[in-house]
Amino acid sequence: MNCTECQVEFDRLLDGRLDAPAGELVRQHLADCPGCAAAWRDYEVAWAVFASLPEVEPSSNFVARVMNQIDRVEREMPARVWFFPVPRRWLAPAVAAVMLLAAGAGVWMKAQHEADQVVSQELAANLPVVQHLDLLKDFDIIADLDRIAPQQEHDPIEEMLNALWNS
Amino acid sequence: MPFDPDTELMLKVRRGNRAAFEALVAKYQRPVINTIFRSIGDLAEAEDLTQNVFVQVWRVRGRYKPTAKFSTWLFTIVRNTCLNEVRRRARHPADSLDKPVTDAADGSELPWQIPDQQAKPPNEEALAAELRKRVDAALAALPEAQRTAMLLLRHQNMPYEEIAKVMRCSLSATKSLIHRAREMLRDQLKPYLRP
Repeated sequence: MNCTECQVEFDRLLDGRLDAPAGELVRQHLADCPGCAAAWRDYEVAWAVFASLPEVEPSSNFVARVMNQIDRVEREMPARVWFFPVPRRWLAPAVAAVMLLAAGAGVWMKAQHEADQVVSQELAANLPVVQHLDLLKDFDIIADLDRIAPQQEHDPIEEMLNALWNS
Repeated sequence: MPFDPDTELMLKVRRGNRAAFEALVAKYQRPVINTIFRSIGDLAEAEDLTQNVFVQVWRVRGRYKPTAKFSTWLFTIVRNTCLNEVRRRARHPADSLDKPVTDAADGSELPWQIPDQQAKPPNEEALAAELRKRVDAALAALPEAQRTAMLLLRHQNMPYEEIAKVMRCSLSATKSLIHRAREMLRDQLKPYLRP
């Protein structure tokens, strides 16, 4: 094992992740190489100093404060729409689509209403003419139906006379 | 994935179970506050940010998926919170109490503390305090990814594989991050380590 190979293993040695044969090789090299031994010592001590930094403690009421904050968050959250569980990311596009549809329907209904008003105004303007229109003239066809399609009823006397005459 | 009791608790939290949430807060408050404190160096701020982390966990509990350990998910939120805080501080830098005072007469910087030439040599406790200060300074000088990887290893004793998930990088990149961080720490502290 050379110095580079040895120093590459420092982390695994420090974290206790080096298997026994590899660990033995590294320790053998450290025993023979003063440079690597010094480097290893500094590496190990620096980590030990870092790891020995005192830990800070949260306030004694920290958990209670978090739970209070959660209560506040719950109160501030909008009521969930249970009957139509729309994923939150779709909410804005869905609202926009509904608003567009509503606006479109409004415009269409207004146009229809205006068209109806125009027809009503025209009728009102031409009321005398309209009143004198013979709107039932088309029904003359129905009245003349006998003439257009005469009934094919059987006359028994005529049939008997025709039979005598033919014989 | 092996059985993780915290994942079980978090699945209960996802269903709105407050007792399970309280148990997770009680368990993780200490590693979270220590990780944040060592990242930003301000205890009061660290406690506020720790509170924000847990509130965030509650808010996004519905998005939790038990595909990884709960701690991986939690410390990903912790890291994002620290990154946001660092960015916020970069946008709104505040005056530091440690900043040297400028002399109004000639504009030169005055040291914050005047060294007392008659003072006795520092005792062991003072030396230890000085060393802690140096470690904090060395930690602060590390790039964010190296510092976070070191803190996860130190405070959470997190396996490298899990650190890689929190850092969103490969296992080999994580090993490299930790190795470079330790080398940098060693180089920074070298003057104080030799007898």
